Amino acid sequence: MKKLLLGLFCLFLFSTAHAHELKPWKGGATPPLALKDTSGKIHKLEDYRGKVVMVQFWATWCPPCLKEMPAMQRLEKKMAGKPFAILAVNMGESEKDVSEFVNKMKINFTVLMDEEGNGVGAWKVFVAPSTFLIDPQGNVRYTLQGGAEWDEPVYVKAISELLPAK
Amino acid sequence: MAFTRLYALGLALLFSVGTALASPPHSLSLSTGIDVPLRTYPAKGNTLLLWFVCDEGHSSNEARTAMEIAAHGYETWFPDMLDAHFLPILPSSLEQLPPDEIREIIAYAIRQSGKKIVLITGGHGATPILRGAKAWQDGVTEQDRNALAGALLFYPDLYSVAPAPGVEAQYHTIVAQTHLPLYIYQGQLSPGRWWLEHLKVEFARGGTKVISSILPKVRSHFYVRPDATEAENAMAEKLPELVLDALKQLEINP
Repeated sequence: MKKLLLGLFCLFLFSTAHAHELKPWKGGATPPLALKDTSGKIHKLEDYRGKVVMVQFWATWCPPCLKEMPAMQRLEKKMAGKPFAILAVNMGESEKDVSEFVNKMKINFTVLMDEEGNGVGAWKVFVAPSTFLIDPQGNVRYTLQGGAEWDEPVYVKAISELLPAK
Repeated sequence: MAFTRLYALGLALLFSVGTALASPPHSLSLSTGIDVPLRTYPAKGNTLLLWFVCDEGHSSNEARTAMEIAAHGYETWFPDMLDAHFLPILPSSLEQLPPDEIREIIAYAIRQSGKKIVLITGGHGATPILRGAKAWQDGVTEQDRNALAGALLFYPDLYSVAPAPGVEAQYHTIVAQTHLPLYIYQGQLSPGRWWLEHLKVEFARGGTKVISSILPKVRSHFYVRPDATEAENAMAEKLPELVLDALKQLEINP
């Protein structure tokens, strides 16, 4: 029993040590974001004022992006009823490929198309996935490079702390 | 019986042709005391490609390419710098490679072959070979510099620190110091695709003109990936054509 507990403790330490760290934003003013979703509707970041927004840049060819998508789905469920939104910006793939992927993965959050890489350039994304957390006032507060288990307490806590006071 | 003999003769011929293309592996002793394992694929032309390992190691695609382009007159040498230093195949290992050793290999290749040299590598391999190229250029006269004809970089990773989201990328200083004709292949399925023009501007600061091409439907390291997709395997099959095309566009004849 002691060995089992020790093993579980080590596993806990290992998993927390490997969680990617949210880093405070150092990029200045929030870059612009106005992109179409897969049905052609334009989403502007300023339309989401009053909400915490997770802007994630991803691609279907990127294994860590795909790995974190289920965790993002779970995060959205955990945050249901709260002013929180996910905008997952696809990096340069075709609408057909992205739509097929979204349907296959049964993704519920908003997926935006960045076929020309304008968002990638404005937000200075060098690695996929790259994620930005924006507060209700529209300021970028944190970034995270690489995949993450977004429904883990450390991320849920950070996002919850950004939510507007009731 | 006659058929068996003919079959055996055919096999012997095939074997002799195959082995004629690749010289037996040997090593190159550097002044630092390091012995660099060297595989060579001789050819009759006047251009020698020095193909350095990238951060995902070598693959059979490179050796096959060397054999195919030898038929076009391009000789290829594969100096294995990581093996020479007993370093694991990692980006950080490539960062540790001394530019002076690359310089010495370039100098040896020129001296030994009398041919003009083209450097090839991928990913994080770009930084040490460009540093080595500059070290070599700094030690020769302006006139002799032409012996180093250019470099072909596959999906180069030249960031000095891992770029953070939202922060301007910082490149190794060697990028702006490089003065060498360059050809860059970048996979379409890579964020590096969006930053290729940015990188070219940085190279232009050193007077380097870069010719580049985006390879459709492939990720970085496409010809060495263990998890290569169908499209990546198909592109890897075309590796000899890609190398020949880059050399042609750089106007480096065999």
